[in-house]
Amino acid sequence: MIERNRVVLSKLIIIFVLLLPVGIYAQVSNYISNVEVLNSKEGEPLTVKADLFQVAAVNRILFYYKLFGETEFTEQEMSLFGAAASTTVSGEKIAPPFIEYFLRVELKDGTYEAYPIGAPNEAAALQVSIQPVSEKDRQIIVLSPTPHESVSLNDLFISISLLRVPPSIDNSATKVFVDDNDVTQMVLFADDLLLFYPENFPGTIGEGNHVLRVEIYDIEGNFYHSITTDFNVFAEKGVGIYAHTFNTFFDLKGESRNERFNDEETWYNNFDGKFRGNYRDWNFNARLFITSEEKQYLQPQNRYFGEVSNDWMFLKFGDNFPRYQELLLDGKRLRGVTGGVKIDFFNVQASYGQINRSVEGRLLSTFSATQAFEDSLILYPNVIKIDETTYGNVNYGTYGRNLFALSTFAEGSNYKFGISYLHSKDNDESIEYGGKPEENAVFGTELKLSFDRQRIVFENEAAFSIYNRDIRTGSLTEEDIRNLFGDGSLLGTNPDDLIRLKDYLEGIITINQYLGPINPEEFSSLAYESALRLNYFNNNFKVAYLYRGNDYTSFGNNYLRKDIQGFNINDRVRLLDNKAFFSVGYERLTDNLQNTKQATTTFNTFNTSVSIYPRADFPNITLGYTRYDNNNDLPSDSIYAVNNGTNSFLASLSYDLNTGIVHNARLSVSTSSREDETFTNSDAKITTGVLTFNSNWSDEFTSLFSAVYSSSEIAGFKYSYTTITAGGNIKLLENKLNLRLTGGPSFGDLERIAVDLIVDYNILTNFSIGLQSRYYKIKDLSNNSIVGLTARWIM
Amino acid sequence: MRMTINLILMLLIMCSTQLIAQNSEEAANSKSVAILNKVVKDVEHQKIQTDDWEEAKRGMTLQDGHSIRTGGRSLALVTFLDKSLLRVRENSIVKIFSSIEGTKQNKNTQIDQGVVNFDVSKQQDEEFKFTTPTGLASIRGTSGYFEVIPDKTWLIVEEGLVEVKALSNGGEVQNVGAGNTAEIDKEGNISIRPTTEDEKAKLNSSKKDKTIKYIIETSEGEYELELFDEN
Repeated sequence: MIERNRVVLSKLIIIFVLLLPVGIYAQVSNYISNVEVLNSKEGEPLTVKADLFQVAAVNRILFYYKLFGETEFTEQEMSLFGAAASTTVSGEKIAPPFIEYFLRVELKDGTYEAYPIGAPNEAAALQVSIQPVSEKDRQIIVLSPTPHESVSLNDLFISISLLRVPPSIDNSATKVFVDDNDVTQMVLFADDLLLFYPENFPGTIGEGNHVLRVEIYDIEGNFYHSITTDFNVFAEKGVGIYAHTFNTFFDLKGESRNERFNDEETWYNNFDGKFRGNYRDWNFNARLFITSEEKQYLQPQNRYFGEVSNDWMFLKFGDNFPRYQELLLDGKRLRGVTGGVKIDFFNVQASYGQINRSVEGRLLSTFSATQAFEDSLILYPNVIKIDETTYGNVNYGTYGRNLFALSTFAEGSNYKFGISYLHSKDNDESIEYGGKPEENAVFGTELKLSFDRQRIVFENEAAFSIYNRDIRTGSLTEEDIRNLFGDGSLLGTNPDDLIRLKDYLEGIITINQYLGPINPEEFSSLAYESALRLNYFNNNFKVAYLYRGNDYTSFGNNYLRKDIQGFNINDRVRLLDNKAFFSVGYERLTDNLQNTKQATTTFNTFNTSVSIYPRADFPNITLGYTRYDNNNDLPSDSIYAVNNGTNSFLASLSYDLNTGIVHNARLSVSTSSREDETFTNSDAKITTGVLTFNSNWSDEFTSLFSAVYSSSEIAGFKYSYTTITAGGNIKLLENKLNLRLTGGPSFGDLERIAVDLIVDYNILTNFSIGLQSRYYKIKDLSNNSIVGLTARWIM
Repeated sequence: MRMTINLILMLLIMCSTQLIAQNSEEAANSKSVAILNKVVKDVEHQKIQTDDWEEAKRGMTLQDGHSIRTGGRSLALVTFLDKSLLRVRENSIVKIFSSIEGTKQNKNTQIDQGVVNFDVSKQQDEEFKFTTPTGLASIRGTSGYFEVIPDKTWLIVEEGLVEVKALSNGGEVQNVGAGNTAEIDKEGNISIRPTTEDEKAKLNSSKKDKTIKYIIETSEGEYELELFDEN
């Protein structure tokens, strides 16, 4: 066996040259040490985890992603826990060939940094290839429980069908694991059926979430494939005579962590509790996260959330993330209430709460009114009037900002039509030292029609916004209007018409001279999108047109790209029974819709990719190419000139080698080269290569090795480094004790030593404690150590 | 006397041989083709070549030729190895025929009476047929509902396309698309029309397999009562 492994490893070393990457990306960042994308598979939830260098300065981290062919990145806030952040994208949104993503680290001082730095405009977003559902996945059929099913302990039994596995598979060699515990010995093999009745083996499966893994092997004993699914088990409890059962699930975690950054030491204490329950068709969810990082001078760090729902209604309160039309409100945190009712095809949903908590500003210095005028200090943006005789220099705080949203829509399997309204306003009395309080109202509508069993889908969305940039003075009075527009006024408008208009609109938004859009006749605050999707002959074809005026504003979606119009067209073709994918897309957008810029820039993007999943003894391959061209035709010596082109290549290989020991190797190389033809000459070249090699030596021991090479040259500034990481994971004491040790050096322009040790010990089946420790040393710059203790209790 | 003994021995050997042959034949055909994923209230199970009905239990396997019978307000959830699903509603009798060849499973469900909701996985050159006293339906990756009485069969097609054939009067054949109901009578007439609201309600009702369990605590112990969740 040893000799055999040697041969295999020798082959692997050769194969490495061809192999492909995905999984782990590392890139220079002041806050993020690495980002890991887990389970990048079509239709399955995609989890992204980011490890942080330092937590103290971080306010929150946002994850942005977009699928192939989409124009806009979708925003999703990551959960911060300790020195790590994570988020999961719903499986229904995950499709081949790849998704692009980047992270935005928002800091407590109000600034932010992207990962990779500069993304998505100055640097290309990262890509991760999405593996389609493979034929092998379809060969192992879990009949019960179904994925994510919640089943009572008394009703639980596991049944797996091997009907579809090829003749080369040895059914009797199949292994079944529940939560990494091998239960194969308890499984009844009945031809192509595998049955496991936990009631015959009391104690093997308890209440809570469980992961089921099935591994199949060929007749030579070689590993062939495995699938993973999850389910939840609850206990049935008699509550009394004729009582219904009320099922509950608690997951409680506590953490105390010490971080030392050079000579600065900080303690963090967190508690995270989750509750899930159901009673008849009523479902209950709750979460409480309390952290010592909660500070009055920051946006909320604590989180609390509760939800009650059934088939026809839901009510969420606390920190929730309501979803309306994408142009209005889509996943932004709202501390308040969201509720909805569904009666047959009719739906109504409303939200009310706070999206910004008020944070008081700081008065830095004061000076007399005389000095303020004589020295022209009042012209400085941060100088405000304190009283009649005093002015002050302040750091502006943040106004408390409330938001109300309402949507009503009719929805069936082949149609959706709805209208939405959003209103959001700063509370100018919430703080003393603030800038300009603002107000916003948005009206939207959406229409979706589908035909031929959803093979033809026509989607439309439109919204119109009004936005007041300064509501401190309130609405204009009738007297103000008559003075401004009355007799003798050069503006020549009938003041009575304006007064009537004011009376009508004042209930919606503050009416004064700061109200926009200034030029509504040019549709400057209009946004709309239309898309047609066709799904025929293994083609997923989409053509879309979008328009977003430069003044379009929604406080419910701050990161929407504005002042842009154009179209995109793309197609994704599945070939050879999902063994190959070919994708091609083209997008052409232009800005300067209302002539507010020096010139109009045209943004052309062409991308194409080929993915091959041979499913034989050969690596999976993805090759991608993207070309960006941005140009506004101004002379290259103009400070407003835009003229650059970027070529971006991605190559990704992954290979599973199974010899009884399962080895997985991945290699990914991406490179982008930007040529800037303007006088700024902001050329950029970024190359990243990642090689990972994981081995499952046994059920108890796995090892990992990775090598990361990153090289960048931006505007003549070069930076390159290589990071080697090696480590392993071992389970001891009948899998109760889990040890994970990884570490390695970085060299080049980043000279760093990093060591991570994680220890988990399951004292009881539902109670565990853990130790997380990390040591980083960056030569001549910093020492960073983290030691944390966690405890987790599941009921 | 000796002759008598020899005769008895011969008869015994012949009977044994016949019995072994029968058992071998049954064993050869005894591959599990489906499981009972859920059993609510009165569900019985009949093996091949027997007249006895036995109490069916959740998790039991079904083989070619096995039958399922449900009582009032009862339900049996049958899952085939390819994940095709039958919800056998109350007061129904169905018989499962299935053969497995390599990675393919051909299925024929005989519905003698009652209501059966079906959700059939997309077939890979496989057959899934339903036979009723008046008709035959060939299914490929679709969902719908059968209601069967001796003289008539109603078929509601929720998704996909089903080919139906009358069993008498020349065997008329028609295709039934989604959103339509076919009626096949004993004279061999097939009529197809859009599904009515009442029928849609029946279809939706036939999909319900969620139940609520009541635990009744008495001085003599606990009793379990399982009812359909009508919400």
